[in-house]
Amino acid sequence: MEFFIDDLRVLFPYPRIYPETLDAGGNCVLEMPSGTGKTVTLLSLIVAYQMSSQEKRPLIYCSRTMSEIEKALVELKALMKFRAERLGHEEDFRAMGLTSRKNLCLHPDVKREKSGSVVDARCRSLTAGFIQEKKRKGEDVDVCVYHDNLDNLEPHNLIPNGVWSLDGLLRYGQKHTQCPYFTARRMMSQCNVVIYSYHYLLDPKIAERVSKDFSKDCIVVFDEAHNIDNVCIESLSTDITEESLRRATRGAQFLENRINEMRDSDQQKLQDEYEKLVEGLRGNDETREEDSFMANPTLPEDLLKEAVPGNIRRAEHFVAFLRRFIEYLKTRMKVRQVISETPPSFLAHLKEYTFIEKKPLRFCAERLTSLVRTLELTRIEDYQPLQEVATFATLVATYEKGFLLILEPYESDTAEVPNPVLHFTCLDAAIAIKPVFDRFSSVIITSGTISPLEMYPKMLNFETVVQESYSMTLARRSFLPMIVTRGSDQATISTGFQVRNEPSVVRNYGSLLVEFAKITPDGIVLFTPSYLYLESLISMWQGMGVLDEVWKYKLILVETPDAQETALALETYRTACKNGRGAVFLCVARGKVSEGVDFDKEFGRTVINIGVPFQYTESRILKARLEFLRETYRIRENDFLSFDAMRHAAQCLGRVIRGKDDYGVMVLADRRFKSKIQQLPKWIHQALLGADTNLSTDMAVSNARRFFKMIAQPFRTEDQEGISIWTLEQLKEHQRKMQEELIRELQATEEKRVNQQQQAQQAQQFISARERPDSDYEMDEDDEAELMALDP
Amino acid sequence: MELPQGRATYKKKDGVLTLTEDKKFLIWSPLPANGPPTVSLALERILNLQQTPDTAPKVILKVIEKPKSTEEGQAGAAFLFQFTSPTDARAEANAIKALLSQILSELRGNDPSVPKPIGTPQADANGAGASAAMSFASTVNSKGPTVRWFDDNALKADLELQRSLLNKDDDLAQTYAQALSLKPPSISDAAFDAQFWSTRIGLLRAHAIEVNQKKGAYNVLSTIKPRTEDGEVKLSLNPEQIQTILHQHPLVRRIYNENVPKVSVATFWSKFFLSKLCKKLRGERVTDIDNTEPLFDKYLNAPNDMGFTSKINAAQQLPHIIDINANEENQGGFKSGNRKDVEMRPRANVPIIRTLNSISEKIMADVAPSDLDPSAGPNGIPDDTRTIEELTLRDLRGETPSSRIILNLKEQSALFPTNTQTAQPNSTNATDQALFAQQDPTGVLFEVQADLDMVDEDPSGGLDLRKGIGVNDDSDDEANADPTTPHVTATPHIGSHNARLAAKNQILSSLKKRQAENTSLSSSGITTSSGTTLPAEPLTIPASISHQCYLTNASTVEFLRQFYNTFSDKNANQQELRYYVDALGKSRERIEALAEEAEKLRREREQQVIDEAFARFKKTGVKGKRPKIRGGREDVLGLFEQTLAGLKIAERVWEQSGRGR
Repeated sequence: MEFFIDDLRVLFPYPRIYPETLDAGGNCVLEMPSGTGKTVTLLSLIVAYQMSSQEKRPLIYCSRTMSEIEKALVELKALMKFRAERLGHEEDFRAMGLTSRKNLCLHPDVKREKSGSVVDARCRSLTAGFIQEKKRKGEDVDVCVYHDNLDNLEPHNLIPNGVWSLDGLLRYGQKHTQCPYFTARRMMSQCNVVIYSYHYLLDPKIAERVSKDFSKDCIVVFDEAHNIDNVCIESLSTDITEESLRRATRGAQFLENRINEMRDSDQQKLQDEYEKLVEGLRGNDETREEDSFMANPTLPEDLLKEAVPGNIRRAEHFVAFLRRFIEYLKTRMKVRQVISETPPSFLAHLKEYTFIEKKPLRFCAERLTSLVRTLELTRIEDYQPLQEVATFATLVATYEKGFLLILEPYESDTAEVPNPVLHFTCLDAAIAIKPVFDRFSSVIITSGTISPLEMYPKMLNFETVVQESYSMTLARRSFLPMIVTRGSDQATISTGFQVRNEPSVVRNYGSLLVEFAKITPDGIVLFTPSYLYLESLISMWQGMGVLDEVWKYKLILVETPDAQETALALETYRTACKNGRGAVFLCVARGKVSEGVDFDKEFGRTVINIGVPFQYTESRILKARLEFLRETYRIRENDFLSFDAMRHAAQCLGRVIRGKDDYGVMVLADRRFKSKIQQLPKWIHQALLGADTNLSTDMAVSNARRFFKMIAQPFRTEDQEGISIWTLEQLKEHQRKMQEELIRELQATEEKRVNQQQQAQQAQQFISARERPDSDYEMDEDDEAELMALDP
Repeated sequence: MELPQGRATYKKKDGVLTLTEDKKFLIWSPLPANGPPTVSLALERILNLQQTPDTAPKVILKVIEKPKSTEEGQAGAAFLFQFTSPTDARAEANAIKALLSQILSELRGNDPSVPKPIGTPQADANGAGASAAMSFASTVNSKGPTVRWFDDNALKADLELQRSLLNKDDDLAQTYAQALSLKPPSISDAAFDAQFWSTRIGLLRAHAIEVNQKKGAYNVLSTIKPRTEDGEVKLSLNPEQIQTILHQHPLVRRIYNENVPKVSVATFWSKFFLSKLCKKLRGERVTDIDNTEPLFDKYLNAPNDMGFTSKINAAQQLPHIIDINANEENQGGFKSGNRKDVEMRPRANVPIIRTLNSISEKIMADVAPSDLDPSAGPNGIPDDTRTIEELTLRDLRGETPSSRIILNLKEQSALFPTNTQTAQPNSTNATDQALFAQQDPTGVLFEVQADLDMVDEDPSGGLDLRKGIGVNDDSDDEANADPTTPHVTATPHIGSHNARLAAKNQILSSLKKRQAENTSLSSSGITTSSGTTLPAEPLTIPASISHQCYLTNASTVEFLRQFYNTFSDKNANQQELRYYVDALGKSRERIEALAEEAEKLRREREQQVIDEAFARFKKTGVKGKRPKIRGGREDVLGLFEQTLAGLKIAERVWEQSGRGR
């Protein structure tokens, strides 16, 4: 359909529309119910805007996982196809997605590697600048034909216009023997829409490389952004373990050997590098950006122009410097008590013992990159731990506030054997996202479940223009949220730390699963708060015979820490659901399944949340963050914890609904959910009836049974029309009404203003009357003040 | 290949049975077998083959021919050949039968008239699981059960199936019994059955599928639990479970294979269920205190996936939208972030989790994965549409053109002879049609529109609708209802008192009816096979009567259907038709009888209520209002209103066809 919003011609690729989908324009936070076409709405609005405006501001659309990226691309593709059909011509439009080398590699050997970092390393060893150089010189080096073919193409037109889904890109690459990854990387600045992971924008280590070419007027959308603060924090945090230090030492040794070799054979090169470093880091960066071997944390602009400090300019000096730093860290690791300190205190201690200054430390990562390039090292894997240490050094020397160093000598409180870990943890999500807000004028943050909205601007420290949570209109109850607080035996159920392993609680959760397995068609998804609890639940259920009971009705599949295994389990699950066999998928609320995989239609007819997915509150990192949030942003600990838990719970629930003809039961099984209803997103909260907030298992089951019967009744599209689905006429009618309302509102304010004036005049008269000596009117100060306040 | 032949008698004459060279006909020629064949059967017309079992002394091959299309429902002709070769009758018969079966199954495989299930029926991967049901003892109807569901004739001929359906569905059984009892003697039972089921093929097919549906694979170990009785471990296993275990757990298969002749089968299984291996396969934690069982313990660490291939496998390229593995690698480069807290870090080995996944995977091994690699679409053409299909919001896509079944009526003129009569050029309809045919719809609409637009500006103050339709409150009923002025009755004056009264009554009566139907939907309804619930006391008719009403209605409808079936068939037996007309009349009588019975009941109840009221009046002196008892004759007839109308129409159709005379 086609309609206008504020004179903007919008083409929407469906003949009907959900009413929520309308009303969307600095920075905004939007919450739209899951599965109401958020992505397609945003895309169609923004594309309409892009196409109508003169400057054609590019859109950077960030999503969380590759699945989400691909979904957005596919939807965009459908949208553009529709626009082309409607407008009668193909628009000059190019959109691409970017993901890791691992996912986009076509090189027959390299793509077989299991680990992403190995793919990265091998790819670089085939495509780096000096390799190209060698090849030109006629040396016998391995190269990647897919990459090299790109050089034969016109650099600004590596791929034709159109929307390229990752799949499409891979296919195009295969057909034309060109590397999809580099095609996407190099074409990014030529695209109208770029869809990629948050990290490319938020993680300073990558953002510097990938996203620096985008102009300031880009529109930035963070979709599925309920977790954005964690992504921000993650991108600036790192861990150092004893193992990594050991390997880093080895790496440093390799490096030294290599330098010695080079000094004997090619002294000139090292000298050249030294000269360049005097000029500053930026001057050094003449090679193409994607050649860079290792990513580095962001450095302030001035630093890049500065000369690298003299004491690490010489290669051998730098390696010695690194070794000293590593040795220092090793001695710190020997401490057998928990230490938490701020970066300045750490640096002070460091200086005291090793005379290492803050400034050279800041250049560590960049200097290492430069050295690795000079030495023409290809086996990057060996230097990975060294890189980690260098990154740690740079981070610790760069940021003072909002970070904390925590040394945990023992894995748990009961452990006897020390296994020390030094956490460098970012506490302030705003640090990573600040450059984004500084750089781009329009940032949209959206998700199906980001309640309460006001939390996000607070945490991420920005101002919003629009902040809106949309509710969901439904012509019938297409999903049934319920809170189960008691088992069938009336004992309360909860995953609170003290009670969660009690047999009665575990058995009640088991019987809840069994009962729902009996009545739910096709798929059931069950989420637990943590891996640990999932494992103990399963073990105990097996012992109790719960699983044997479930086997009678459904297949059982479990999320495992191994991603590949889980992918296989997921595929088996989907097959069983589609096939009619039915299955239960047991997974973790913060795990990889809960993010990015939809359980729509038959893939999820019931979702059960066992327990409120609180974070592990004993974690020192979490405690530090809570303290920071309280002191800096005035967010109370409990508020944050329960907000965090509820957004994950809501996220899990939202997985089962996609579109209004989809349906599903949502079960929240924990006593503690009862007090957290308000924190659920508006659209779930709205559908949750008061009577359904304190159920026992058997009541919930009979409710669900009734629900499934009700939903089985025939239901035609026409019944929904005008309520949960609008045709074009209804949409226009709505727009007209909204305008009338706006006019009426304006009139009302106008009238009010006039009234107020009159009142004020009257007040004036009163006052003047009182001023008369024989006045009968008595008026105290407060009243007077109030009346005065009315005066515009 | 040499054609097999055998000496066989047919109708007590000696002869030779063989096939023609082109293998299209089965021929039998009397001895000395050089003349033209006296029996020649086209192979494609053979419905079935039967042979006496190997143990029987006589060797007889029975060939059943398909019934001719004109005699649908009749059993086909059967040819009996007795093999008489003194040396080896059995071998000759077998050779012929084998060839015949082979050709027949090939023929049927290509028969376009037989609807086929989507996809080829899955071969039983179990191998050993080829059940008795699959091998049809002596019949060579080798279509397999799946194909038979799609063959209407096979369904119609399957008495067993029909009986089991009748047993299951009470309503249907009632209808069947009633129809059978009223069957004219001239129709044979077989013909009646064929006719009865011919319209219920759908029901039969659904039932056949339901009955034949095999239970899917399941986790067999979880269903077997050894229980302890009097200190002894007891275990019951059936052959099917053992088969499934051997199928699901290749390791057990291997151990069984390697050990069983040495160890007795019984000990093998009893030891197995107590062994650590069994615990391990179940996914339970194995501890040191468990029984040691040397037989099984040495296999404890052996792989359990030999020879296991699944259609779902990890190496396959998943569509990107669900690829978790790729999600993990989405970011590329250096991974940052603190390590997960202790709760989110999984313990190293929880055997049960892997077991759960692997069992589920094994169970689904033979099923094609639901998500195919989009880059390898059908015919190797990459296919984006599937992903798009997956993602579109289906309910927003708008109308899909509804697929209607067009009803083709044969010989409509015979059905509705009245039409031809009324379609005279001077009838009102026809004149109207002639008039309309000359008009241009847009022009007419425009004129009407213009007239309506004029209404506002009309100095006379617009249109008076009351006058327009001629409402006249004082209109004389008598005059209008005068039978002597036929044109008035033909087109009654819209505004007349009579017409308005009639309209009012019609509206009120339909309101009343609707109300009665709605209010009587009591909880104890009757649920039919199709799942709809009929009210127990519609229109306040007592449940005992109403139940009969439903049944009577069903049988009446059945008769109506039969009537029309026969009626519309030009070749139908007149006697049969007359019989159905009779049956229609009887149906009406049955309804009447029911109505009478209901009326009687109603009167009784009424009397009872009156008596009670009278007694109360005597006691208290208070006169109660006399209640109205419903559910009598009127209501029963009301319930049957549509059916009765249908009967009436059928009778009129019959009369007007003039065939009755």
